[in-house]
Amino acid sequence: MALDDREVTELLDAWSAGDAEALERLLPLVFDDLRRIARAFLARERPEHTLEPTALVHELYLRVVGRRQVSWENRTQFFAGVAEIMRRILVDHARRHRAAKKGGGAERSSFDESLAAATLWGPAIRAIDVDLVALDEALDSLAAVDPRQARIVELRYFGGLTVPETARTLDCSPTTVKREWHSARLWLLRELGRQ
Amino acid sequence: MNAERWQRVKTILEDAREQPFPGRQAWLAEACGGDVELLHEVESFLEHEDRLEGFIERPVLSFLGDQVEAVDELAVGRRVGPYRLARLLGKGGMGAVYLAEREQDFEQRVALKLVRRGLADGDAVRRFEAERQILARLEHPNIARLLDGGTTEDGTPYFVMELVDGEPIDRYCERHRLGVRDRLELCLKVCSALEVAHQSLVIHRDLKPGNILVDASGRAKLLDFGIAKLLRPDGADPMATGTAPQALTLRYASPEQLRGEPVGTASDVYSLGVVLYQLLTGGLPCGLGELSHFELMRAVCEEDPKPPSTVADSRTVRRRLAGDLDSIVLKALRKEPRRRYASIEKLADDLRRHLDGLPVLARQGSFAYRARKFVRRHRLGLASLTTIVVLAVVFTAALVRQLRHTERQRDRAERTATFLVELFEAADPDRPGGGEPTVRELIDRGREVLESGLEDEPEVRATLLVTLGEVYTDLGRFGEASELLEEAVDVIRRQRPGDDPELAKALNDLAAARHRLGDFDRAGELYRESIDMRQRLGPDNDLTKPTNNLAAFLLDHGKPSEAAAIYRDSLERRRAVLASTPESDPDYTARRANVATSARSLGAALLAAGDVVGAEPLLTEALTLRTEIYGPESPAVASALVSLGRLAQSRGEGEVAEGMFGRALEIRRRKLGDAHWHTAAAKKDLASVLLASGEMETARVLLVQALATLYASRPVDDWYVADAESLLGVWLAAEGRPGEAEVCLRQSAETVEQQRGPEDVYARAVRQRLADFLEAPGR
Repeated sequence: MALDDREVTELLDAWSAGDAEALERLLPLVFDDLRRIARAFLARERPEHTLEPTALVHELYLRVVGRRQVSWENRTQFFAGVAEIMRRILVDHARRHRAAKKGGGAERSSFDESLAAATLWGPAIRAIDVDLVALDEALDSLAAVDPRQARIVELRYFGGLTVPETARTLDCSPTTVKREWHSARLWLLRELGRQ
Repeated sequence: MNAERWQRVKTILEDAREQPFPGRQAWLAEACGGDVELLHEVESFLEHEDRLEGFIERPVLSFLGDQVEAVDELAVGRRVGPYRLARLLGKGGMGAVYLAEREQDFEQRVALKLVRRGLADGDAVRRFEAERQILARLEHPNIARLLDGGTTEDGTPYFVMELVDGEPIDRYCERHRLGVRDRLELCLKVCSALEVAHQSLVIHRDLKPGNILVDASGRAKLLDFGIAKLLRPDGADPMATGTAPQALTLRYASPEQLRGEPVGTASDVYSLGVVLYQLLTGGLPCGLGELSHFELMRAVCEEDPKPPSTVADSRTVRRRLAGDLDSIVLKALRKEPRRRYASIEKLADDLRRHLDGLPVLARQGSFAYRARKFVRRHRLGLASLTTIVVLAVVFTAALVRQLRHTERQRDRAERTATFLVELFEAADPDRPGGGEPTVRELIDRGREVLESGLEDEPEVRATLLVTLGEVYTDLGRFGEASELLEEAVDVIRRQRPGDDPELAKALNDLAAARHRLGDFDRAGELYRESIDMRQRLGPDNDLTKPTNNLAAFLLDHGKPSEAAAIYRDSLERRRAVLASTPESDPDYTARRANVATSARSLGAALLAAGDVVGAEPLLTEALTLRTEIYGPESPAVASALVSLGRLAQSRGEGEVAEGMFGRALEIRRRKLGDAHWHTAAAKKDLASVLLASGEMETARVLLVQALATLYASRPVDDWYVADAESLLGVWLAAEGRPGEAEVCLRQSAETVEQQRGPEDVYARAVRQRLADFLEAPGR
């Protein structure tokens, strides 16, 4: 495995302690692994099963930190981290894609190169039925008035977490998650409608 | 909007969701408490409600799941050789299949298979090349034809197949709601395609419904010999472990495939068996539940599939599958390749035989197999593995022949025979039948094997005939027992004219069967012939069993004096044996017990013959001996007491009889329990004394108790029950209820006579009671 477990864990720890740069360094590492895992899923040839998003994250988790005794606290941090990473990867990609379309000579990030190399992400991102750049901005505006709601959206949409998983990650009840999810989406829809 | 304001708005938004729509507007106004601005704000969110459904509900990661599709979709529109890829049709083990159109030459629609990018390593290319060669060799209306093949500009191998516009066989069957027969006919088509492939030394290796398409005209086509490999003529598999497990669809893979062992045509037999199982039941041999790779491996390699008839949903289908189809499918699904059908052709033959109503081979050949399973299931202590194997072996005629030249053949056959008897004695013959063979089924099957086979092995055949005859006797099927034994006697006489220990045994067994069938004359002759033969054969032959049988027969048959003569003979011999046995001999006690048994039997016979004086010392001796040997509280002592009680009864010593029967009842109650039928017998005897002495109420209670036990433990219309019922008739008569009494007495007499013959002691006893009643004064 190409991924240095310890490095990833340390970066995760640093990031969860508030070190924003740690995430920047973590992204390419984890992305690379996500890509590898995604390919492994493909190679497994399970046409009868659609790829479960959380299965992918769980597998990543197992490969990165799963071999050690990890408390649930760390695990939720990890999921939250993956959700944020995914958000940044995808939004970044979408932004560059949009820029390229407009004719601007977009510089290529290391993420984008990875994306291009994978060839797997392009079509997947194109298939996403939401304007990710606009969603990202709307989510930021939501975070300004209600950070927890923004987190719920991030975990569920970008992290692929289920309602119970989200509830555990945020230490609240599933009912709360459902209620917040509902109104958060209304917020986002209104916000997207304004743009 | 600030955070505080949003908290208010969102609470209303969340609560509003629960409000029924008609009254919602009023509810909203009230919730906003007259704050018009707030209401407007809330409404500005609610107007987006109709777009809520589906919005960001599907996690962005799940789009990754579409990647397989997406990557393959990328190729659509591309040109491959003279073809243009028009649409993605599906994904096979190694590559994606496209609907493609031939551009230049003529309009032709084909299926084009392309090795997936990223998977086209050296192995895949080699396998792909193999597939092209194999397919080019196969020509059959039920196999998708190979039309073309090549390599794309970037080196990706491809091949072009006949386009099959159909759906997987399982879906086709479901959608058309095909009946069992139609499904089987469809499978037979697949069989014929596989036969051709196997003849070309090609194994499919990846049979599953997705690879068997059925078009609109109902024609089945076999696709995708994707991982099939050339089977070399010498049978060796050139790439024995080359099948990557993930390339197989595990639920259809054979155990040997999963274990990475060499794979032969039997592997296709297995996989087709799985398809057959699925088409007939809707289930799969390893179940439909979610299983991990490991669990699946274990299920396929170790667990026996449930018979299809126990899996199908509909009752009608279950009934249709039970028997033949269960056997056929399970034979195809055996874990060991050599125990499956030897070829697809054989499987197809059996399916056809079933459709034609002929007996299927799967059921015949499986007797030994099932017998072994039966034994394994029941884990009989006596069944050592070797013995089980011998049992299985001897019952399959083919293997018996292999034993012919071994010196110990007879030994083995005899051991098997003994084992079988023990096996059947140990098993409960009335166990309700389920998926496994019942004892009856096993022996019936054994009988079929004996009828049809072993003609050239008369000695083994005779032994087995005798054995089965004994088994049928134990089961109470005297007619069949008699037929088998009659034949056994014939066979032995032809083989070994003159005296023979086996013949003597067969004669004795046959006599017992005829006896029970009421053929007293023949039974008597046979018993005597058997005993005479044994006597001529010398001292090694134990005469006890046949002589006792004969004596019991004579006693039942109303010839107590003749029975007594035999018992006397037997008693004298046993006394002599005992006299020559020192007390230190380990057999001493057993021989003493034998003397006690003969003494009691002789005493009972003399009593029946009216020789009360002669009987008394013998019965007293039996009681004394048994008390010493077994202790005063033993069931053996109880039996001796009953005999003595009857003696006292015949002398008219009611009180003595009552004491004996009472003690016997006590012992049996304690040692055997209240529900044992021997205990009920003692109650009956005691009741008969009490009836004579006028203790009607106690007699009635005992009789009713005895009957309750007997009704539960004996068959309907059993002579022994009838005997007890006739006593009830006596009680009814004494109670002044002559109508009921007469019915009781008459029916009892009829039943006992029917079952035991008119000369029988019991028959005479019940007739006597009826006569006493009819001749009673005051009638």
